Amino acid sequence: MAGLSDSTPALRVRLQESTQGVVVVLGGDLDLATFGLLERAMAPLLERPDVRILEFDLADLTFMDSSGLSVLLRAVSAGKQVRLRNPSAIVRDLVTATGLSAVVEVEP
Amino acid sequence: MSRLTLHRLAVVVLVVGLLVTIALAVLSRVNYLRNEQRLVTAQTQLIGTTLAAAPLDVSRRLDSAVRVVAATQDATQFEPLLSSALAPGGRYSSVLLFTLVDGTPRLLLTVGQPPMLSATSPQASAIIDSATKSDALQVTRLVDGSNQRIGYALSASGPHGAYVGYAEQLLPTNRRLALPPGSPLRGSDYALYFGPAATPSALIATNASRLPLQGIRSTTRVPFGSSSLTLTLSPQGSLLGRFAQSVALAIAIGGTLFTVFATVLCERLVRRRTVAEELTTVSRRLYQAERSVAETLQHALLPRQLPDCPELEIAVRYLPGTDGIEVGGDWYDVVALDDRRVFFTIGDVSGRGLDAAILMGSLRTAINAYAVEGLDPGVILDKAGRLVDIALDGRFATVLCGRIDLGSGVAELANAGHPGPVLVTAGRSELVPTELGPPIGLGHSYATTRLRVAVGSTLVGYTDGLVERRGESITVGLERLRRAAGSAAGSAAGSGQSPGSVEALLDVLLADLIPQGPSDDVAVLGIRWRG
Repeated sequence: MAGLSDSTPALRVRLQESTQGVVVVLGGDLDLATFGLLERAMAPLLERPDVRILEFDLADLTFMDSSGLSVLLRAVSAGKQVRLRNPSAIVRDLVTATGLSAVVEVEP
Repeated sequence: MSRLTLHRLAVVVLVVGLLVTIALAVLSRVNYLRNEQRLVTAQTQLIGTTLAAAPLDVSRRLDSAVRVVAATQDATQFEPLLSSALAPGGRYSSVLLFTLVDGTPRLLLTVGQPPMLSATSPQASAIIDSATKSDALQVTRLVDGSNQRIGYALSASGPHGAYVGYAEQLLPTNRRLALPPGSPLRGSDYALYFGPAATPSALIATNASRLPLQGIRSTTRVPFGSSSLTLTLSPQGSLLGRFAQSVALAIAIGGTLFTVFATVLCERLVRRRTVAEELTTVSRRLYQAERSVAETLQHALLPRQLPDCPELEIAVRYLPGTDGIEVGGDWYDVVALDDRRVFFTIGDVSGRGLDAAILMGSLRTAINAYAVEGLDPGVILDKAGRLVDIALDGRFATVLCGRIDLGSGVAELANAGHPGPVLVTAGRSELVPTELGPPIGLGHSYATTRLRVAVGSTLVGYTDGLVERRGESITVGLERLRRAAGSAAGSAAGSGQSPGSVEALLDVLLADLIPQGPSDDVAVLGIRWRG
């Protein structure tokens, strides 16, 4: 399992709650090996009706593939408003290429 | 296997451990007993040596008294010389002096208490006779009920005849003797006998309640004048000490405990290993079973036959990825709706395994059914999305589908999150822009894009395994595909298919883009409109 043998985990997840909603700060790689960590962190948020906006801070996210997309889509499907902030070029291209820009906000 | 039965190895450990423990304990005990016996024997010998000196000591006073009388012929010396040797200060309870007249003893003096020996008895004559015949101290024992005495006799000759002195010493009444402090006999059970044998009647003294003595013991015979003394000793405690005494027991207990512990440990390890082996076998079988079911399912789900219509040339490829070991969710499909229209689909269910393959099958069936109904591609994607519940299991699907009119070459496309098709014309290739919606299942309304396909051009649909590479943007991969498709169309032979065929195109394209085989599954669909 990625991250278990390194001193820095392959994926870093930090949650920040505010009155506006929840900010999920991601760092590292979001892929098949690590997306479970994010899913588990987000599962309670998806259940809470008071959490309506989920903002993902992707400034430190270096990689994302379709497993990362599944986490975002799950939040959309659960009725949350999803925003992606500061995605890298690769992440932005992936989001555009899979038509996600129709259902998530990307800023910038 | 019940909790109480043991595996063979554990039984072996148990048996061997117990046998070794028993052997060591027995050896230890035997060794202890042997050493203890040696010590007892040595101690007894030592005490015997001490006893051997007794007669000399005991008879010294008598001896000098008799010699003096014999030498001086003066019997009056006898009593003064012995006064200090008489009880209660000395040993002798009585002393008799005899003189020999023509070989017949005649009692001259009696000093001290009356002797037990009758001076006229045959026993007296016998001992006097032996005394005159021998230089050695004559010793005899007299018993009267619980009283016993030991008698000593020795003779000395003078110028006018021989004299015999006879002394008696009290022996312990009731055969019980209080040991003085510091006596070497302390700490032992002993039995002292008069004579060469340890018979009950010969018993002088003992401290034991039961005779003969039991347990580790040693007997020594010590010459005592004309007779002997027999001493049997048995230590009350252990001469080697309590520690040495308990070593064998300690070995037995310790060895048994250790053996039991080792057996339990061994049993647990063997059981765990057995469980682990069983688990490995079971999981391997389960994995293989699932794998083969998924493969069978996937084989069954992919179309066996592609529609055979003169207006179209169709080629398909499916390459399972080398990375994953489970089956993926990619698919392609081409169905003839009627003699004028053909419907194609290329799709990708996220994730791998049986669940992905099952969803893929459901989508394929549903989409084909809607298509046959005559629904527009966009509407088909709307409806197919209802089969997908992303919130439930995080599984989503991207789909590109299109309906081609065989007469006009117009394709109506709808795209849900899927990479757009490449259109390859003679020497030119372009990425077809589509009105892209998100993956199906989010309630999005999908638009239809109209595309006019020129005669002889080929529409290539594919899944993202063909263009995605880690560390680079997908747009880079798409551009790479576009260029490769263009050059593949340009290149003639090389793949064994007839030059310029769609099959050849796909072969060259795949060889160019993923010569080592894809890491992720790849499905490719090429449709050429012949017009």
